[in-house]
Amino acid sequence: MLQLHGVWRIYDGGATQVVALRDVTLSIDDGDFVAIVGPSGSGKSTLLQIAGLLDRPTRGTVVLDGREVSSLSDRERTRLRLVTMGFVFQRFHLLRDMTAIENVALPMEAAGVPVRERYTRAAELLCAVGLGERLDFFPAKLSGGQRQRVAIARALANRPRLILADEPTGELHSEDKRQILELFQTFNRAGHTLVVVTHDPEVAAAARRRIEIRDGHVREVPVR
Amino acid sequence: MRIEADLIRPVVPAPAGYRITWLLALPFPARNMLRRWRSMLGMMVGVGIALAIAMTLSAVGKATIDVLVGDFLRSGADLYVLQQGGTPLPVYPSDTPGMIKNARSTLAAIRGISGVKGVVGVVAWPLERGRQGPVRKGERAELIAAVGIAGDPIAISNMVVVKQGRWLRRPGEVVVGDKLYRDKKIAVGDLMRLNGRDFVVVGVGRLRGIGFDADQRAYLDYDDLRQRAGLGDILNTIMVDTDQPEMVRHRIEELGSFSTFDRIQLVKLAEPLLAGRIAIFNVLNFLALLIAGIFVSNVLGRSVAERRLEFATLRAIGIPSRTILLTVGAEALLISIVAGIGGVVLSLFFGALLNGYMAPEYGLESLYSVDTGLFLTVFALALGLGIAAGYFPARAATRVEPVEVLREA
Repeated sequence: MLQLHGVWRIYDGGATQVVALRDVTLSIDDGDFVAIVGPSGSGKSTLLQIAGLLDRPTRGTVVLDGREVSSLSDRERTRLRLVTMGFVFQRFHLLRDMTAIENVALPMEAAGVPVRERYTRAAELLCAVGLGERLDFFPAKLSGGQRQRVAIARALANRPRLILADEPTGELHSEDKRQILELFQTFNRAGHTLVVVTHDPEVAAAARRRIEIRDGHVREVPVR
Repeated sequence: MRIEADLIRPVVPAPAGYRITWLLALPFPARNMLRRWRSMLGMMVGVGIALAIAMTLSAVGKATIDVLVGDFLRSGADLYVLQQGGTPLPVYPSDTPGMIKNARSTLAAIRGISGVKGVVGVVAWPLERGRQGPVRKGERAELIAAVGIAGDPIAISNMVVVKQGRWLRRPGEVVVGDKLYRDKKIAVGDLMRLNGRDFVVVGVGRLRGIGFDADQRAYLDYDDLRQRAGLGDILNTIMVDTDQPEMVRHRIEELGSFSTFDRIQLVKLAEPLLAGRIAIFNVLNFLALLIAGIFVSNVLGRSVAERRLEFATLRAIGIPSRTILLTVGAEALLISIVAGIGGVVLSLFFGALLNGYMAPEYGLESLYSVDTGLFLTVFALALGLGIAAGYFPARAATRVEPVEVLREA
């Protein structure tokens, strides 16, 4: 589904250059549940951003479904993110002036889903993540775990094949973390491909594949 | 693919039919604009005040012309007759309406023209106001601008304005202008000594069609003024009420070397006289709008900078740049519309204060004249300016790099 070939990412800091990724080659298949682990500053988030078409590699190529996508225009990459990928961030990044259901319906609106259909689906998704009674709540009225569940529902809105999550449990308590992990496993069983950047051993243990990144180099770690 | 929700046991069942309100059915930029109105209140108030100032300046500029010619337009007289070369709207000290000689016979001749419904002649002359009792040594004389009136102005609609008491009926009476009444504390029933003769003050009011300082004058019978001032048979202006102004104008000009002016000509004469003042008002107006535009651009720019994370998120999840552009643009539009409406209301309030409290102090009927066309122009300009001012912050919002902002978060 997604391949990275010889990807380098070098940040130009003027006098100094920071190499975040060094010649990374990686393949993620349909239905994978991949945990990307490694110490802080090792390049985990950079790898996720390149895989998620949020950033471009300095060198190397990114291939999505057989198509080279790293050189696509901003507009094409935005469209691909909208219909192919779902994002879950550590700090949720919900729109504070929109209710939970509006946050979930927004990507569908951008994709051109009719009004009734998008709100029906948004309500179903929120019910599925256990927030059926919080559809019209603003993010400020939700707990951290609830906000992350709204963010997950938003990530699933356009039925993406690939879900990318950056430290999705980093700000959550253990009970909330457990619920989020259950959701991820359920989505993976349903056929979604998941790539999760995490520091958390519990999350890493829930994944079917583990990729460790250290000083910009990646290596596959066998899962016990 | 069936939705993933089916694979999870819902904590609560999905609602049978989620009620979609009109707000939810709106496109995201419009919905966001309405949801965020509270955070834009400060901008709306600031821009509203700037627009109110611009609109008030426009209305005061309009009233400036009105001060000069409004009395002529409302006086009911259709033609103003002067000796050739006279200036109907005296603004500079050298401006004079001139003198029509053989006034009585000229008045009679104009009255005799068919189609003439009423004729009134006026002559202005300063008279010395004396105090009651003995005059102190070295006491300076006080001059009052007096106007002698020949004919019956009450017969011409709207020519006479009476605020207290009544208009002149017989010799020996005087009507004082409103400002004179307030400044000199002259009351109805008082005696007013002018050039050595006592006149009874019978009213407070003025004659329309004699210029913009009509509230500062004293009005008396034509013969009384002539006698007191030692004037010959002269008039400055003759005002004519007629249904056939063009025909009457020709007939009057045949009578002698007269110039006649109708209302439209007077307005045209007033406009160049006030061109300088109107230009200053327009410059101030432009500056007020410019400040409003810079304010919108600046504050909206700051708002975009503060919401970088929000725009980065929108970009990251695949919301097109056009939607983000429209989102910020819609906010600029809402600010402009609400500020425009608020500006009109505030300007009308300023106008009520100006006309209610300040105008009487200057002896004027109005210092603020509402002009719908002018208001609409300022409103349209503000709207255009708001959109233009919102464009740059909106472009900035679409250029937020999601990766940089998400890394910072």
